[in-house]
Amino acid sequence: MGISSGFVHPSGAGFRCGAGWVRVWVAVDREIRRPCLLQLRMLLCLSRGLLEGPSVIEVSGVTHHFGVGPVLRDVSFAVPTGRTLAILGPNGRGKTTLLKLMAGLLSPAFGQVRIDGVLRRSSVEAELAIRAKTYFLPADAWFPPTITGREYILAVGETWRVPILRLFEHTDQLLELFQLKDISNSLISSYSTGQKRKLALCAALASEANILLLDEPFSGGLDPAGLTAIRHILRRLPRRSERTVVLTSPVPELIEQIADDVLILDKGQIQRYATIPEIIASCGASTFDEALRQLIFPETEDALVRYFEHEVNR
Amino acid sequence: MTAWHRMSYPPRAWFVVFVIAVVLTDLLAGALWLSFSKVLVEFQLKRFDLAIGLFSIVLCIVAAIALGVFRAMRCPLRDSGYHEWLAASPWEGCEKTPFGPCAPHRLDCVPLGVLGLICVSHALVFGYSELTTIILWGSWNGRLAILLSIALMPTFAFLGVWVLSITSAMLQWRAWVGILQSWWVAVIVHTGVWLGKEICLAAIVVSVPVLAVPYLFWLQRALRELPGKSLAMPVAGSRGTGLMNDMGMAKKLSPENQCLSPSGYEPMIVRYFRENRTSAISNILLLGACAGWFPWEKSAIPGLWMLLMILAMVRLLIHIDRLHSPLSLPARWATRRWIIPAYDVVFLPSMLMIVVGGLLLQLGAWGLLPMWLAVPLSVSAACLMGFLSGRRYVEWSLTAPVAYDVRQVRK
Repeated sequence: MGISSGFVHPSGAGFRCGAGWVRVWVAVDREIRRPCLLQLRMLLCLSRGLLEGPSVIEVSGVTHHFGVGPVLRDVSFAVPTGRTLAILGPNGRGKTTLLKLMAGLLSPAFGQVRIDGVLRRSSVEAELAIRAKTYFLPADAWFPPTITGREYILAVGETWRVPILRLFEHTDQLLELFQLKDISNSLISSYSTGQKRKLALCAALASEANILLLDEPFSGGLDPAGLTAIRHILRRLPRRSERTVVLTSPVPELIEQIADDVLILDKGQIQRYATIPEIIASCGASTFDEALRQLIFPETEDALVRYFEHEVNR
Repeated sequence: MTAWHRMSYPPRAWFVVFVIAVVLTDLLAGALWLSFSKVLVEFQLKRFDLAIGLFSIVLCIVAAIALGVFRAMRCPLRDSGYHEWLAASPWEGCEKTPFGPCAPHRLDCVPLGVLGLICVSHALVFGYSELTTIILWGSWNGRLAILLSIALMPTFAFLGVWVLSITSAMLQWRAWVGILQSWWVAVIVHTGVWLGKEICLAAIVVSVPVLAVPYLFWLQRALRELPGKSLAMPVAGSRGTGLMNDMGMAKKLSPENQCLSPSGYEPMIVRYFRENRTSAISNILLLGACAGWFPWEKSAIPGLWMLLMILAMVRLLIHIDRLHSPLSLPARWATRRWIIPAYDVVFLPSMLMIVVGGLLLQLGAWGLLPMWLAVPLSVSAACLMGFLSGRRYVEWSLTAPVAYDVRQVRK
């Protein structure tokens, strides 16, 4: 049995075996997930683990750089079906790049991205099949300005080949849920920033894609009603319909409510990939917010203290 | 009309504005005729109600132009946001584009037909006296021709705008389309010179639908290639699978970072010609051949010299835009280092362009070569020198003692 490469996940590990991936679920200490010991540890896992199907997204050894600035360095992880993964990290550390690589809008300089076990961009047919399963929502979504919101959602659904009757029904439900029904027949160019964001989220949900890649879904001027709607949908969607969601967001409270797993990127590398309780426990923190401050922005609290000391002296 | 087809039309408010404008124009013209017709006829004054009534025809043509602009705006080849959206979607090039058609469609006959009918009816009502002569005394063919040409004016306007607009998009994908345009312009110029301006105008009008047909065909082909093709150049150092081009666009961190990139930085146009050398050479030769179509006179030589200078300057600026000389001119004077061979090699191709191109032009001016041969030879030779001579950009940028533009880096 030739094992060529592996990946890590908070709840287990996997390795490449012949044509497919084998994931091994383990309930062991965190040491087992150290990439440097991965191959050896995985063999150990095999003896006590439970064999499962392949992960839906597999990123292995991905390195990417713009010009001379490396953005991602040897990033490997896997996302199992029906999970919600939140990618966190300081600004400009590769979160959006990683999402774009998963969405196929960028090709990694090194490494591979597989969706449902199929290598991205390996053939035209495979790529189109992957695209049908995936919906990427960028932070600044593109809209055709001269069509209405309803037409936009319907066009997206048709492009993703959603049966038309179900699409009509779902579109109405989404428009009502996000309070866009009144303006659904107005031109998109007349929408506010928040309404456009809601419309983009509606379109993403209307596509019924199995994998949602959402870049900053909570930003862009969403009102409390919109935030509540998308938070509840994202919390229930993966569990009810086995869909996988990968998102980026800077808001820890929302992440805590939605995400199953958290991947923290720093300087282009995975700093931590674990479930939220594990992250809180590993940092010895009382809340997820506190744990994130320790992990991602340890210098911010010191800087704040220094700043206010100066304020007092002035 | 289907919902999909309506998506490529201007907003409904535009239609309302158009209808109101036509109705108001007609009402105004009618009111003027009813009020002042006797005075006008009595004093044999020019009928200004006629001019106002015919203004509706202008409105119809403007409406057709708007339709053409909106249709061209729906083309994913023109809109990088649309293209990126499509690149992440399961859309296939052979399918209809998601947000409405991007090319003329058979259903366009409906609005264009309506506009044509408005034109014809207005021409008959308001231009009755002017058309009477033709309609009463002209042949059947003549009557049919004039009415048909009036009815087709909106269609020609629609197609003309679409063809012009799509040309710029097509040039990115198929550079030789530009050559085709040059040939066609040459034909029209010669038509005007030899046969008269009326024939030339007719040729221009006929050329609109004639060009629209191959454009439709090429657009379909380009759209079929679109799901796997990028408007942007591949990321430096990226490894494609060979089956599809890279969708990524290099993020511009700073010019300095790009110049320092291990794989070297190349301006897009230089990279395009390097990677498509055969296509570039054939296009240049075709361009030269097209130049031979024009009826050049010796009086055009100063202008052609200017063109050569501009081409040489453009070539130079593309190269030294970000990679400046390590010593400025005053510094060279101060250090008495007039030539820095590793850097100054970049000036040679531009100088060759002027010398070789200019020499061939002068041969024409001196009568040693006929002008129809001298001009195309000069243009082709200058362009070939520009693209083929000199060191490769990446090689030069990585080995020459260049200085980066401090102002650009600060930005």
